[in-house]
Amino acid sequence: MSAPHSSQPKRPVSERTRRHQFGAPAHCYQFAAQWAKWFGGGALLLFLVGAYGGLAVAPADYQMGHSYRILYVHAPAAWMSMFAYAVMAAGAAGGLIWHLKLGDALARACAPVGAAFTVGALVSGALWGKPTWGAYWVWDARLTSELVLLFLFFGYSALANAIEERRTASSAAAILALAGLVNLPIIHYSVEWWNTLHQPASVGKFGKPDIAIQMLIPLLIMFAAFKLYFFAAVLNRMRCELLISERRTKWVRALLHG
Amino acid sequence: MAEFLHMGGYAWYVWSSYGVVTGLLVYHYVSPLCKRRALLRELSAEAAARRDNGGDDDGGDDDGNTKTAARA
Repeated sequence: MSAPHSSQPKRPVSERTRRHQFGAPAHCYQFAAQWAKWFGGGALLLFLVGAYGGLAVAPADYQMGHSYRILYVHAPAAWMSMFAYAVMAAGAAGGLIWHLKLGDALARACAPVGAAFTVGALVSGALWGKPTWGAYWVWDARLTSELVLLFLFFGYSALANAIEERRTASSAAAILALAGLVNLPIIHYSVEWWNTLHQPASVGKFGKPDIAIQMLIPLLIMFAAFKLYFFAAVLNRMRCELLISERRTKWVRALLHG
Repeated sequence: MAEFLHMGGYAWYVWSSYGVVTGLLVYHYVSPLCKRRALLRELSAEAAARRDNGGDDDGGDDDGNTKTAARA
């Protein structure tokens, strides 16, 4: 690939040239702090509204009673665990193929947050499974493929931190992340491909969702809360990753002396 | 209120799942904030040690403006 900016004029000093002087990582380190605060604040607000709606306002389910209220943390956590994996793989691909420093930082930041969503989905699912199916855990296709997702997040983090040379570590971990992408459609279609205990999705199918509107609204609010939270948490973590990978650069040194 | 907390007999399952998920989210928001502070302290200490050793001789990428940085 030829240098994409070679045709850019050298002067006047534009925002773009300024970014060249300090680099995109320095730029990102600065704006991540602001965005994380806004996303985090929005997530907190929506979480409180959504939890109130899900726990207090939505009616009890005619079959599952009040136990179905676990849905409001379980489904967003499970959905975001897959979303986090997709973002991690995209970042890893950017780092591996185009040598984007921000790509590696993004992927490294996604892994622990994605693992947290996965643990949340598995634990809340177990706590829902006990009263509904009679067991905390069954070796069902949906549960097993979600457990594999957790191991992929752990595997990525382990590999990314195992090798001393950071760029090499990122590349090795990126290959694992990309290979693990195959697990995402398996999780998604597991409830259709295999006979499972896990119920199919009630929302997101084409047409009318199989869920009452009073139950649906808090769920949508929780989805939004979890998504905003994800961006906030990842941006906070990216700042740490950038400090580590850029520790020898001028901008980090300026930050320390300034 | 007691009825609300009782959750129709599912109190343990409902409240512990909300507790676990909320705890995980709070932890993963706060921990990088603390980690960043620790990192800045650590890097400052390293920089101070380098200055005491009489200069900047670690051969690092000082300009922060390599081709990859510009393209990233």
